[in-house]
Amino acid sequence: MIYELRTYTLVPGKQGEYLKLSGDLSRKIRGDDYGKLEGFWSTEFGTLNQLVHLWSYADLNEREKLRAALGQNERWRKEYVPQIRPLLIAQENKILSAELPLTPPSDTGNVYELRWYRAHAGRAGEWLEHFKAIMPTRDKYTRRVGLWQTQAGQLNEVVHMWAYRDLNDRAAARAKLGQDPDWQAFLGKSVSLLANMQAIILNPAAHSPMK
Amino acid sequence: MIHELRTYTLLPKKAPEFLKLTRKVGFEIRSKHSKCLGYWTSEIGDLNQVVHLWEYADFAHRTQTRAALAEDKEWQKQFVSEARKCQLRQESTILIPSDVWPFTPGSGNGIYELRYYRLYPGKVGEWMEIFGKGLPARTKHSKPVGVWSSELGGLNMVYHMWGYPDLQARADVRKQVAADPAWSDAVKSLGPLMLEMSAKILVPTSFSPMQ
Repeated sequence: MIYELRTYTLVPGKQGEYLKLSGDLSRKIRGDDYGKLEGFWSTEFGTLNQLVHLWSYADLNEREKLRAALGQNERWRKEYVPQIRPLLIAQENKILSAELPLTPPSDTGNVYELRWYRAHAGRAGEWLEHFKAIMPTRDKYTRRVGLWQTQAGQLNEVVHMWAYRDLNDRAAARAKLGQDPDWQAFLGKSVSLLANMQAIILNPAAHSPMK
Repeated sequence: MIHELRTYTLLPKKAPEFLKLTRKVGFEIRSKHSKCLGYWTSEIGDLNQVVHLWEYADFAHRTQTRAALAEDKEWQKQFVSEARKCQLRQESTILIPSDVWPFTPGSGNGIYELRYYRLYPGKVGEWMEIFGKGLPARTKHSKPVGVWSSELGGLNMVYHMWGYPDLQARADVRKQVAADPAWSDAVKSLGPLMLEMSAKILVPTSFSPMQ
């Protein structure tokens, strides 16, 4: 299984229109026939007016085949794409390989946190070993959704996603985590492997499978 | 207490229109919902930007405020629908006031300087400790408005803001400060913790609570 994370920056004010087209028309045309939609969110904090969506494919060959087929889909090409193009300023995508299985929350009404860290060149694997080793401790405090390594797009990068009831729940959980001596020891060992760290909050769209 | 720093990049030809709309309509409606600490335009650094700082009791307060704003018809119709046509890009970051300096709104200043540094991951605590120890020497020459670390958006960031009567006064203060050995020792220790340093000069708008 491989994942694709796409981030689209919209013309300010066009988010409602885009979400409607994406939630109605795009879902009708493509369903999960051209890659499975795992989640669809709008961003809060960081760069605003962005939409983030996560797709899964059996493997890279399957992705290539399905993306080519989607490009040939008449309704997609003629009905959908011409309507969304004028709403977009920038599109970015990343291919991610899962380091731990994706575990979407079973409940709804969550906010999601997406964090991405760029490691010093060649050090992402080492950081991931530390991170996976501490995960039993980390999982006591927060609900993990996914942990990936970026395969194409930005290199030397790890991506992780977490679910929280709301932002106060997040702040409280992270404060408790920060007090855990094992977690502190993990940070001491691992943080110097990283070069840059970013975090944003994602709010699920109405048509997002993860909510 | 959390602060939100919002930075909007405007279309150069639409910047005057955005400011007029904010001054005449937007700011008053928006201020009914939550407390604005300051509202500036950029003078040096990236131009055609507005920078504004908001205060919330906690994340829940912010979430409620943003939800109420989305429902405020006056705000949406009289301001947002028009303002959107003037914006190129919007960014938001959550800043946590540091206990090394209590947030103190400036007054009677012609300009404000916002300085923001990206640190090596994991170095915010150490940076704050050294900066805090240097502050008694630094504040003999001029006092900061606030010192913060970032919580969402780019991580491992520190921000600090200073008010000055004008650019010449800023240059004079910075010259005195550089000659103060207690402060220059602190600066020497801070250097190796930092990856990138940026500063922008901001001018308060006529409706900014901080002048």
